[in-house]
Amino acid sequence: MTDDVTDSRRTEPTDAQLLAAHVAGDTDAFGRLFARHRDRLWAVALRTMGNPHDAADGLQDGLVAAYRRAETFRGDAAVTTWLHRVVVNACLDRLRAAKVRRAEPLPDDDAEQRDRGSTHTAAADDPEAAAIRGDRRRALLAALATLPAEQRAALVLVDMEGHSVAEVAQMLDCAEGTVKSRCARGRERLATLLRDRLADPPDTGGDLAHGEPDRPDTRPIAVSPDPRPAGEGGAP
Amino acid sequence: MNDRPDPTSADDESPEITEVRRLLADARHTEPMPDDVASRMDDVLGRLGGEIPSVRPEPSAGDVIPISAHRRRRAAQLLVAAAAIVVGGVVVTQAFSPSSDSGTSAGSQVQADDASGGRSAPSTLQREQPQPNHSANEDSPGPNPEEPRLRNGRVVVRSQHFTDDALQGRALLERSDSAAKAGQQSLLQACPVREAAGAKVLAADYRNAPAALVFRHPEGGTQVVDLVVCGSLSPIRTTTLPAP
Repeated sequence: MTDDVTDSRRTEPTDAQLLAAHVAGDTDAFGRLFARHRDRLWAVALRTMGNPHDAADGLQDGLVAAYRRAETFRGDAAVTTWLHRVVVNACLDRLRAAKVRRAEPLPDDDAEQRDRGSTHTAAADDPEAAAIRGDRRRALLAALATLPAEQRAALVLVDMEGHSVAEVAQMLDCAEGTVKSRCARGRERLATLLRDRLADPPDTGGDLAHGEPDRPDTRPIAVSPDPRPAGEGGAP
Repeated sequence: MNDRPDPTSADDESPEITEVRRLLADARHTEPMPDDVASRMDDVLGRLGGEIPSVRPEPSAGDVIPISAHRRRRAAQLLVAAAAIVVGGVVVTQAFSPSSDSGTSAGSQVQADDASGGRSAPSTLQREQPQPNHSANEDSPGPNPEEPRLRNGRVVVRSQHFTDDALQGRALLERSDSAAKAGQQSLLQACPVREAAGAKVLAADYRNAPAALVFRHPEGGTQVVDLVVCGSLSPIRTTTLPAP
């Protein structure tokens, strides 16, 4: 313990040390821990919930739950995995409670990026390609919002955030095969919903016959109920 | 994280699936948390920082309960139960004593309640009726025992008097005017709770943490009341009152 204290003076405390300090009564420790991971937790909440308002609510639920349940952390996973688990579960709880599956496009990203001067703004790119890319991003997010919440969460964590299947299985408290199954079903569903757009070459400006090159494609995404049950099985 | 091995086998993926995965990766949100959300989270952390560490929602299935906390809680329950038995015995003795009249037994009831912190053995009827309480600590009500104690416009809910405080809160809610209701709305804006149809919500304070009393629509002569700590979806306390 003495060594830990000495080390912590020289270097930043680890996540596990901060969480332990919080449990021991350090009033600043949890805030420091959350500050380290809040941007990724926000991204996961945003993509899982589909809009900033609900994402903030879900993240707040997760924050409160993590703060109060810190004692339940058993150390058999990384602290960041546990934090993701708490936040994602809070988001899923909200989605289940609302039982509302949003299918509308999600304009938050573009608006936020314009406001903040994102490094990926169209100014640095070919405007036509940027318009196409923005259109595809909106279409993808709109299609993603139509998936069952568990499939969406799995895709957000695996394909967007780049976590391993094993980590996501811990976050979602399910078997790795279930994560793979959810991802596979979700991807297939997205491929179906985005089939028309996927036919366009990705980086050449696409098939401009669909509309003006500098105007995002406003074609609606054909959303129909998934004919397959949302059940889970092993790996596809 | 993106340099990790591909989590699923991509060998047999169709080009469409590969393209979907590429689109998903491109749609990764890379912007920092917005300032307004960050401020909100900081506020929540600030409120949590003033919370008594032992105040946590009732554990749900699957939560790990530290054995020390379990023992402390059990010891407290045993102490309360023992006190209730003693007080109940005194009350019964006084009530059936040949020398006592109704006035003295009522006085004894008050004294007994004082001795037990305002709560004797909780029969169903007693549990549903507000009990007078004259202790001068945090658990004491306002100057008028029938009036709920308020803190920053919120009804103070005492852990040992949840049912009583819920009753008083309901009475307050029923007689509040439009201005008071507007004040409640503003207090509850930062405290979203899951409301059932026909439910009424009252801003509350539970162990210095903002909370809400959710009075569900009365059914069959009873009304269920949930206590929800702000920021949590699940109620940490629930009681049943007689319908208003």
